[in-house]
Amino acid sequence: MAVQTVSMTLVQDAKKGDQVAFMSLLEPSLEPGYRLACGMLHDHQAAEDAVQEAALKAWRKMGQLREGHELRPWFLGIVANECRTVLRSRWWSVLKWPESEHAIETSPDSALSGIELRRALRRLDMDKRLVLVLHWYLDLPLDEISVITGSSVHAVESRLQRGMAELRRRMEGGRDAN
Amino acid sequence: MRTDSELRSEFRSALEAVTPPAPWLGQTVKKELGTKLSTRRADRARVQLRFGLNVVAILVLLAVAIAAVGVYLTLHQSVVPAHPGAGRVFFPTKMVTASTGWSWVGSSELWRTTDGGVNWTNVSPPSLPDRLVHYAGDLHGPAYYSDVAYLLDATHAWVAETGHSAAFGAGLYIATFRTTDGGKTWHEGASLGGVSPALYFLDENHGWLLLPTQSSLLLYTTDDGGVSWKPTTSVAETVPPPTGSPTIASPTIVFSSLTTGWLLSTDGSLLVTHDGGATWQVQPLPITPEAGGVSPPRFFDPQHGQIIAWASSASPAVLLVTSDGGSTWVVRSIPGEIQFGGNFIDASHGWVIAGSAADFDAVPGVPLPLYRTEDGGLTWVRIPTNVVWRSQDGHVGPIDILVFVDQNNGFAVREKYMANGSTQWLKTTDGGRTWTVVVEAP
Repeated sequence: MAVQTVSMTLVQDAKKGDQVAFMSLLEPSLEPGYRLACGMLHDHQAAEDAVQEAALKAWRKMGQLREGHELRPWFLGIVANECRTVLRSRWWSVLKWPESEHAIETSPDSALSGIELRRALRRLDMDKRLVLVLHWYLDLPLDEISVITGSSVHAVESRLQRGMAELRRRMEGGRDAN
Repeated sequence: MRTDSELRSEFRSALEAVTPPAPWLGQTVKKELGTKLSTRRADRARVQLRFGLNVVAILVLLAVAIAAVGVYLTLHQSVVPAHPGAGRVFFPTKMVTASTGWSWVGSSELWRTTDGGVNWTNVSPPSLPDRLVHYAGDLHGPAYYSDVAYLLDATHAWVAETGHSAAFGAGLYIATFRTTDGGKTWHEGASLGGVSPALYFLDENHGWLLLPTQSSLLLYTTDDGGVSWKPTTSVAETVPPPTGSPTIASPTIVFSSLTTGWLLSTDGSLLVTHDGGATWQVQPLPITPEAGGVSPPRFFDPQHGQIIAWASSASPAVLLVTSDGGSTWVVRSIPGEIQFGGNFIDASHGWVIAGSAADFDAVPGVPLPLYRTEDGGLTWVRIPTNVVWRSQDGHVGPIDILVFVDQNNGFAVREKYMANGSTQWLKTTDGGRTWTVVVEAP
């Protein structure tokens, strides 16, 4: 209960323009936000940029955070929107992905598997990709994902099931082709 | 073929590989925040002068536009929408007949149709003054609620709303409302402290209400249609969850008689009671869904019921069928690798939309893969239909909600697939062969 009171005070202070209070609130959500962006973009520099832009937007929209509403799903929703914006850029998606593949991989076996999986993941539409990353990489429960995506739990479950089936099919298909 | 846990582990490793540690992120964000805010403040001052001039120009244009609209409306009487539920596509929660059905929208509003889904009327009970509401996404999303409804037939329904009041220990409480006339009038029953309830009614008087607490599930019963609730038992969630079992948002209860019922716990366990809820045991099933799950049972009468089960999230679903009140269950297969929607009207007659992931992903224009059984799932026959699964231009998505009310009449919904697409409500009167779009909405 004491934690909640401190958190509510921080929210009030942040809404009044206290940047220190805002950063105290935001800090625990930065790492999940960064993991989400990396999972969506597969490029850590682009992910950092997306999180920074999301943080700025969260600061500007802080007045809209309702009382009792948790900051994490709210912030992750903003990060997800940033990632969508980045992914919509054809230039980025064409030029950046091949570079990042070679820059990060180390072990040949894991590299092959990782490349295959990430390639399959990138071919999913953004909604399915987002739900898979939130559930399988960030380990978030379905009801929090429904808050982040603004969808019903039923829709999230449905996207997750379809996304998994599609990912599996693309990966198995990729192996067969090899 | 990878198992679910292998795929999940591979998924995590593949993304860890593109997520190098960034311990400096907090500091970078703080610095960037300061820099960008100061830059934007300076920019804002320059922009303000230009903005002021623009505002004056816009105000003048607006005044002219408003005057023009006023003249137009005076000359042409505007057409006021006849019905707030007209022209909207609702997801059918329960269709009772070819004309009458319910839609429980956003866990907060109850709508009802009496003309087969063309028009819908909001028949929600009164909203609690301190009703609990959450906001989705980045707060631009819609409000959402954690309330539940149980729809028994064409006229009887219950809604359990969640409120927050200092009168209850933890602050949160459930208030139940009942209608016996299709939502024209509502009667408020007793309130109970708690949140995230599950409701089930066997008939217009006998019902159960399940309230999860941190360590157990509290079961209440009513024999007066929800006017009063009596505590029955506390069910400890002691059954270990199956490995990799899916997360279920809230527990579900189902009763086939006053004594026999099932509880699908949030950890995916299916429990059964034979003494009205006093004691619970694990329900033995012919398959072990280690990494999949089971649906709550559905009973058509005290003897005949079904469960949908899948061994893993990538496995096709199967039908578990009982004809002895749940003592024994047998496995029946369902066509396709993935089932996108299905519906049984009784223990024998059912329909399912089923295909492969390749079908789903294939070039739009694939015919709707609809199958029908008349022997409880022993055999399935593909029905030729006059519609495609998803539209050629991708404007509307696949049909994935299917509800039949008898052997001929059924409804389906195509969800919007693209941001500028539309949602469709379709109807069949010949068992699924011919479908017509009844309502199309953006």
